[in-house]
Amino acid sequence: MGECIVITSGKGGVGKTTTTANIGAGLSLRGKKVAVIDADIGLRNLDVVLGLENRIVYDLVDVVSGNCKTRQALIKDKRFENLYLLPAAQTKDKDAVSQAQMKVLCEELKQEFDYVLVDCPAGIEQGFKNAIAGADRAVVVTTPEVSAVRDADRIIGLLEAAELRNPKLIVNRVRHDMVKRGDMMNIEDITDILAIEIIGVVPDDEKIIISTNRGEPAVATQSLSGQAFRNISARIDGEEVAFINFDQNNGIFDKLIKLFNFSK
Amino acid sequence: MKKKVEFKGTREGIILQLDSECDFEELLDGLKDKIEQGKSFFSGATVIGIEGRTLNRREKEEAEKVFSTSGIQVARLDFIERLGHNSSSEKVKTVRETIEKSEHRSDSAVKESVEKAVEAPSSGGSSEGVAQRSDDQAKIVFGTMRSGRSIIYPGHVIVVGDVNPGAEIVAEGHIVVMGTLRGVAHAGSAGDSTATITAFRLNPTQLRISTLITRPPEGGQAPELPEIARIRDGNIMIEPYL
Repeated sequence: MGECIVITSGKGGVGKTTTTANIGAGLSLRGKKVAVIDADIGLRNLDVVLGLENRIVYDLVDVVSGNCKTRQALIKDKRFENLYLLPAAQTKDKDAVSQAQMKVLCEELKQEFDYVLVDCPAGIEQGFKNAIAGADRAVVVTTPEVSAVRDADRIIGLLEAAELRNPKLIVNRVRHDMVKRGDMMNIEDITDILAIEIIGVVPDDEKIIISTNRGEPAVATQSLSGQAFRNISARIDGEEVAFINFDQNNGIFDKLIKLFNFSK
Repeated sequence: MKKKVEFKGTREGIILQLDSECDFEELLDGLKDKIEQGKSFFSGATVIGIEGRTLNRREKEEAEKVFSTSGIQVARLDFIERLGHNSSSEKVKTVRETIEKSEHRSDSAVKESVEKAVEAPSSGGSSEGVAQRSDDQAKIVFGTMRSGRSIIYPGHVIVVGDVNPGAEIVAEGHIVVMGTLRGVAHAGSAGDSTATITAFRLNPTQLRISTLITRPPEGGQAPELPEIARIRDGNIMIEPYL
């Protein structure tokens, strides 16, 4: 019996879909069988991020309304063994699915998969309620912006009200140079307000944009963000991993200092 | 003809509405009749207060005697001032209505919420509270009040936790936050200008006491110590709480 995890944020554009794709891919790299569900009906893009948009025949609405079997709608990823996508419908809207239907669907997928990840739409309306309906756990994604943190706070409140206790936090798109200068909220500021356990800090990385546009999750690449997502996947999978130290500089001078410090 | 005694059902229990023009003997008779009529219906219910007039100790005892044989419990026979009946709490009413509307509640729910405060689906984004006002009544809220949560209460409010930006407390009495206050707090909302707002860290979006509204200075950093806000000389002043 698997576990259903909803990835949500409240605010749009903070990287829910990218996070879902990367954690899904990351968990499948760890040998888990993973299904990712795009619950953003009418605005689907998880398929694009995974590079599977041209393989869609059936979608989420077809499954819940009985037009096809769940197995028929699941698309096997082209790169990651054990990763499957259940795409959203693009031509319907959020009312095409009910909370009860989502619950049934998540239960069904949990029988077969180790992890079922639900990519939640932005907002707190029907789409959000649907997305969290079948979830056992929640991951809240935010960025170091006041507006995103405010929305995350609201979302955490709503999750707790929906009996989804102890949501975990991912802070996305952190620019450590700006944090150092004091121009960006630091992680401590954010966890101070939100007061939930943090399971990952993802640096702002142009490789993410490149890989997202190519439809290849960054988790498999040798980049700082890829490493961050591998760590998050490991933590979700129950392994304890140390946080990456972003203070490392790659200049020769810094390396020398480091060596020097180390030898002391 | 107006009835001398009415039973008003609320979520918390029965409120007795007494005709303020009758003398007590008449009321007692009216009460007996009323109980006789609805004995089976009201059996097991609890009386939580009265409206329309106050009762002295002797009158209370007599009234309790009447109830004792009826199967109706009596918790209190104190005078209750309810929201919506009180013109000075008009503003609270408006605030509450606005909040309820913003939460897309149905019209009837809005109306109801004016009559009695609404304990809506836990913390999601809702107003909470009960209807009675007695001077030393306080509501204690455990845990962090997150964005979108609103507490409107006709007494004091104590939060054991933080109040985050986007959350709001409206209290007719004092407000105490055992944590960081980052949201909006309105103490003395019914016009009590002696109300205070105290927090371990006072870093609010906005402070309101009675009819005064203030916001922290731009770019100012709140000191890391407990502070208290109160009205002094017609202004909201913030002082270290020692």
